[in-house]
Amino acid sequence: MIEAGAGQKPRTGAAQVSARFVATDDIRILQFGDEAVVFNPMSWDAHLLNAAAVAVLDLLAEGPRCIDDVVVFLHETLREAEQSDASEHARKLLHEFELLGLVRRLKDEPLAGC
Amino acid sequence: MDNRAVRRKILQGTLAAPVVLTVSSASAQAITSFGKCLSNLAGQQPTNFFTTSSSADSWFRSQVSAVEIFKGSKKQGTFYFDPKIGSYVNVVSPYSVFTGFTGATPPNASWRLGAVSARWALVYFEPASATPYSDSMGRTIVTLQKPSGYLASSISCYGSFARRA
Repeated sequence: MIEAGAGQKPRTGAAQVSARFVATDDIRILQFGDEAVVFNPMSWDAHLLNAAAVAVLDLLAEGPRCIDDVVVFLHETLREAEQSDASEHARKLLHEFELLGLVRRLKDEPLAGC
Repeated sequence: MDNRAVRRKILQGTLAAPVVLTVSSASAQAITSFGKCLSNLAGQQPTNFFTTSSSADSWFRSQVSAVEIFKGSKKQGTFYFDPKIGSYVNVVSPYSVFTGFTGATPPNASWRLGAVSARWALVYFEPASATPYSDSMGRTIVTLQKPSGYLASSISCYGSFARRA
């Protein structure tokens, strides 16, 4: 569990420090209000994402982000009761996105700040 | 500030934990439906493994070659080489295994292969994966020895689901 105060960047552990993720290029996102249906043409699977999951995927579509970026993002975005679990949510969400082929992990490309 | 940044600003401190649900895909649904359709046929599997016409009945079949086998000038019958057992089997019920020699090629001049003709043989499918019985290379194997857990499919089942799976 991370503890992050205002303006303080939470850390998630040395093993994941340099891992970066980016949204897969070919996925199609259909927005319905705050939620979205994401279609992966490689697997032909469709996924229903709630607002927080869409927001993270949207963040990763802008460009590569390390796991700490996602933790910070979720910490700022989630409602107060959920903020203390931002690290766990980020780790699980990225793992799930990766398994579903919605994001890919960039290897050997360390980014300053990650 | 771009639209995304504005949206995030609005979202700050408002969202529930992220959730991802996977909707069953069309291909997965077809496999499941084909499996159910096959399972319904478990109690009414066909007795004729070979037919002489593709439209002889309503079971999904694959065309195979049958060959006459002669010992000297005497015809022994018409047989299909079953790749699973590595021997010829008679195309006429009760589909006995040919015992004159093993393998696909006659071992000596006293045996010879004659005319080749077409038969239509049952293809067995695994309900869980909707795939036909096959070898390690993925090639479909037509065998008289019904593999455990596999079932013959009706043309109706196959036409409705398997091609889309």
